[in-house]
Amino acid sequence: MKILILGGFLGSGKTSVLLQLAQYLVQQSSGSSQTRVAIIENEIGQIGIDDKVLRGNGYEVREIFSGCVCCSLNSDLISGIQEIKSTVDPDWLIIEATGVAFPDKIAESLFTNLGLAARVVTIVDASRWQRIRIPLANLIEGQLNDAELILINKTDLVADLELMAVEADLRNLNSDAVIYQISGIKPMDEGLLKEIQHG
Amino acid sequence: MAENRIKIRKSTQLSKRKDYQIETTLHQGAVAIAGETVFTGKPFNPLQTIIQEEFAAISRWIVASGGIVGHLKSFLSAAEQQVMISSTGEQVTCRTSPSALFSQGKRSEGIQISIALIVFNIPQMDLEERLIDIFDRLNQEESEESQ
Ligand SMILES: Nc1nc2c(ncn2[C@@H]2O[C@H](COP(=O)(O)OP(=O)(O)OP(=O)(O)O)[C@@H](O)[C@H]2O)c(=O)[nH]1
Ligand SMILES: [Mg+2]
Repeated sequence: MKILILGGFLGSGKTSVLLQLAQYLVQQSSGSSQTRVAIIENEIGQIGIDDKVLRGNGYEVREIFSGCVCCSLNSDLISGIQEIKSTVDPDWLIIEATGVAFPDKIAESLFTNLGLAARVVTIVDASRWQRIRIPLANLIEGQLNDAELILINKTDLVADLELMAVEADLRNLNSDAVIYQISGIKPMDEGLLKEIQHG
Repeated sequence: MAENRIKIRKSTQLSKRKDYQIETTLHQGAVAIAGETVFTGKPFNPLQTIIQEEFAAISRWIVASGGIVGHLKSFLSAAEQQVMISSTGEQVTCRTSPSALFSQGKRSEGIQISIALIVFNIPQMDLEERLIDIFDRLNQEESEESQ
């Protein structure tokens, strides 16, 4: 079971990317065995919107998780992941973190509690980067930690010069990550989808 | 007199919080307030328009009050159609899709509406009031039969 954590600020485009990615992974199924993708939606509070969006797109979503995986994995989530592994045993588990979570903390706790390795992909909203970067610096910068891939999203809303500035900023904050520019509302580049798939 | 009014307002607010299943969560400096309800017999499009208008107004109000919009989002789903409405500040966007329930041949009664407001630097009570106001406005929308 490969585990991917999708992180990034509120409204940055995590669910939009997740829908495309899940669809791609399923389409890539070879032969008779279909690639199985399980999705965990973590939202702040009890009432979720994203799980309904996913259901609306034809996905089966189980609401077995309550509480917050923002800072640490709670016992519901741990038993939930174990249950997914033992019952569905999917090829992929994609976890959409809340927009105020630190994805590296989730990865760390998955590893210490379950011995499972996860990759972190962080999505950045280019159209809001300048506006929230300073007032929410702690959160925004923390969300980039340990990200293998950073997707600069909503490039359709931003001029090239500004995009370059955002990318330069991101480079400074995480020099290891591979950075891509995308627009989550358009079909994503197959090369990028492959990169996420194969790491 | 004034005191009385406040009391009455408070108790109606409380019962409305129940009607609309309003829940508040505070996390990492963000206030997240969400609610949901089902309306039967009301037309879909006017309800969608109300939410779009309210999201635009709330975004302006948050910025004017020195807050930061995290994400205002809503999902409306009925038998034939569903829409996700979202705002992260300037614009309000809607994405409509055919209902998966419909294509699966399942029936759903009425229009299910969920709304979540996730915001920074705005007092919880003020935000709760705004959310109750949206649901009240939706509630006041005339039913199809009476049109
Ligand atoms: N213009 C534009 N809009 C986008 C793009 N990607 C996503 N959006 C819109 O941005 C809004 C938020 O997208 P989501 O995918 O829900 O973002 P999210 O990160 O999952 O949001 P939360 O789960 O609430 O934190 C939606 O209205 C999307 O349609 C993009 O590339 N360009
Ligand atoms: Mg989401």
